[in-house]
Amino acid sequence: MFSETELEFAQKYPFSNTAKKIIKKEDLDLENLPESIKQAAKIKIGHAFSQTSYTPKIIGHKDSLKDEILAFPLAKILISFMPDSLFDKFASSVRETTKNYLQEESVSGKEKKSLEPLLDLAQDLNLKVSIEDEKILSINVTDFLDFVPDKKDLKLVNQQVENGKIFLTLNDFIDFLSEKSFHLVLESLPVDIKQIPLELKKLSKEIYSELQPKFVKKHFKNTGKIKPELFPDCMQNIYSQLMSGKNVSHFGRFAIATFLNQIGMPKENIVQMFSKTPNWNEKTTRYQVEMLSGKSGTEYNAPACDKMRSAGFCTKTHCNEKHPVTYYFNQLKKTSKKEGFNDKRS
Amino acid sequence: MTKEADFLKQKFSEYYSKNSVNYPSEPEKREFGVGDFGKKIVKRHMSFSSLKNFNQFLQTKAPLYVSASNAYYLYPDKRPMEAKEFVGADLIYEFDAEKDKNGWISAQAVEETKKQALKLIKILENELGFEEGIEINFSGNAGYHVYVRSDKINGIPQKGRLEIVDYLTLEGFDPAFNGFFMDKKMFYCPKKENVKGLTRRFLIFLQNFVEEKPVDEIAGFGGVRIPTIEKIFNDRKKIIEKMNSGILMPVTSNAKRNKKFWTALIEHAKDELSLNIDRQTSIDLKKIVRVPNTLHGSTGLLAKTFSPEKAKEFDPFTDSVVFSDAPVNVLIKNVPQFKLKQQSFGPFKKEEKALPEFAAIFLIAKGKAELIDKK
Repeated sequence: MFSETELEFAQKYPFSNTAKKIIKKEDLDLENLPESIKQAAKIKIGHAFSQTSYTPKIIGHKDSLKDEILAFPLAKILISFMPDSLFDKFASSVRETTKNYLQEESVSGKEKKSLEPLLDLAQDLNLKVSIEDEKILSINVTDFLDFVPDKKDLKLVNQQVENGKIFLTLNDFIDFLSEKSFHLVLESLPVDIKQIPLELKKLSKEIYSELQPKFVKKHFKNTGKIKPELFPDCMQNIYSQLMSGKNVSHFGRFAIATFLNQIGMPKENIVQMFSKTPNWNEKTTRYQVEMLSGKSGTEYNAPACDKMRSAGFCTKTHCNEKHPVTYYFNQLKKTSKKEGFNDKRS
Repeated sequence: MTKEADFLKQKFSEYYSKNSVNYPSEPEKREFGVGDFGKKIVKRHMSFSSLKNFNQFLQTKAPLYVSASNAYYLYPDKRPMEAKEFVGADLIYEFDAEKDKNGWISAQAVEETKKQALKLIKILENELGFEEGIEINFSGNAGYHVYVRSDKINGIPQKGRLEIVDYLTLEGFDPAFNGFFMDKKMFYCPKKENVKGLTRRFLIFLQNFVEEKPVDEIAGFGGVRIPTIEKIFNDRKKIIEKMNSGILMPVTSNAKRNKKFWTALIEHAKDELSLNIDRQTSIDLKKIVRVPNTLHGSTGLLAKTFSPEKAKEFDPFTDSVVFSDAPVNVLIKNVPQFKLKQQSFGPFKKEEKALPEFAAIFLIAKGKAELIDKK
């Protein structure tokens, strides 16, 4: 039996040797996976897509802790069916998570600020650490050189080195351990999926198609690059009418503004889009754009295809899409073929 | 085969019959390669099950060049390289002097490489903590080889080895990460007591530089005119005091020029502290290197090992000479003056001469002399 402390540790650092021991002991039956583990794995994969940290607060419940721990190898299996580019992202998410946990507990934590979590993880990873003083830890040069992160500030040439030891500040040591977690996870991907039940391949595909559009949307929100040539016909028409200074109906204006907002165009750019219209009033336009983009408390979605059709904006008779936004993101996906589900690997 | 090559091989064989070679360590795990007259490697992927077999080979075949891998393999003679199954490798750093414009390697240039090799050994011991298993040998020709052979370093992956080379050559050294940075108008440096290893050496170099160098030299390196810094450098103690308190003293009231000055000096320190190590060969895990205590076919000198403590006294052009004084008649091409075994020879201009065997072999191996039969 594993203690609650061990389980908590393994949940935070699922790449650790402690976690590996627990995972081995629990011997997950891939044919009969509990829904709770599948869900937890899906959440982990979601964080891989966004490359964000995942630090759930699990309050002293052994079963939930175990679910979280076992969800890690499952997430790795599911990710292994997906495009290679996600391996790096999954490892990045683990790195961010590790960093957050370590920072919270060792540096910035309000309650019990202690070196212990750092030392525990180091020990688990077979790293010999010496405490030089409350702010400086040291590790062996050879341990430091065992894997080399691609970070300039963690290069050996930028370290304090003496008598075979590297002297690191707490923050640098946290960085080092987080990079190590990234390295360990990335190295372990993809897992061998030859013997994996077909059902899990299906699950992976489902998760991938669910998360991928969200990711694309978020990604394009971040980059802010809009490609009007990929708009559906209805939106392209309204867009070009606005650009050429023609008058557009209220519904048309509402449709294009909500559409542009949903695909990630910055509000200010949307406002400026209307500047060529005959009755242009900047103040009113800004107010309206802000309202429909969420200031009123509701972020309005662009009208779906049937509404566009009944308003007379859709001229296409054989378009399979149900929503202009979905249409746009699917087009984006098609143009960036790199991000495709990998059927070959199975 | 030319009679010169025959002669060298005969002499090498005689040497190997009288002297056994006690390198490399763990010979059964090494890949060996041999070379012939004018070609350092003609055959590789060879292996020997013991030093005894290796020595027998040296006596009978007398190769002019013998190299062994710094890597250890399970099956050193298998091909391709992957089939050898790599299990680890020594660290090895090669320092070679460049030929001068006449194609000659001067004794001073070789001496310079020794200084570099000794600096390296200090860093390996004091900073990286590889105090066990460090060995040094003359390469037999143009420089020195430094080895680290220990379990501690065997498993360092190639990327880690590259990190060590970067540490030694200051590749990727970022002054800001080491405490040298400009904030607003002030340039800061770390305090000596807070830094170790390279950063400490760096700081000490900078201190010595501003303490000792003539003003014109400092101005030159700092990229400013002499009058700009003359006044400030009248009181060098003050500059050092400031440095000890963590500040690089402003040399002008113009922050931009001040930044330029100290940045240039930091760059200079970087150049000076960088060891002259070849990045590529130092991390090549598949390379084969001259076996210590074997003869070098380009000089007839021994690739002699010696203790780092005795490095200062070690004179490669005396201590690595193994052949006799018996006269050998040779036709010598254009050769500058050189010294072997404390004796001066030359310069020669296409002349026939009887030279002591060791000097004749030295020139023949270099391709600078031919044997002549005197009846």
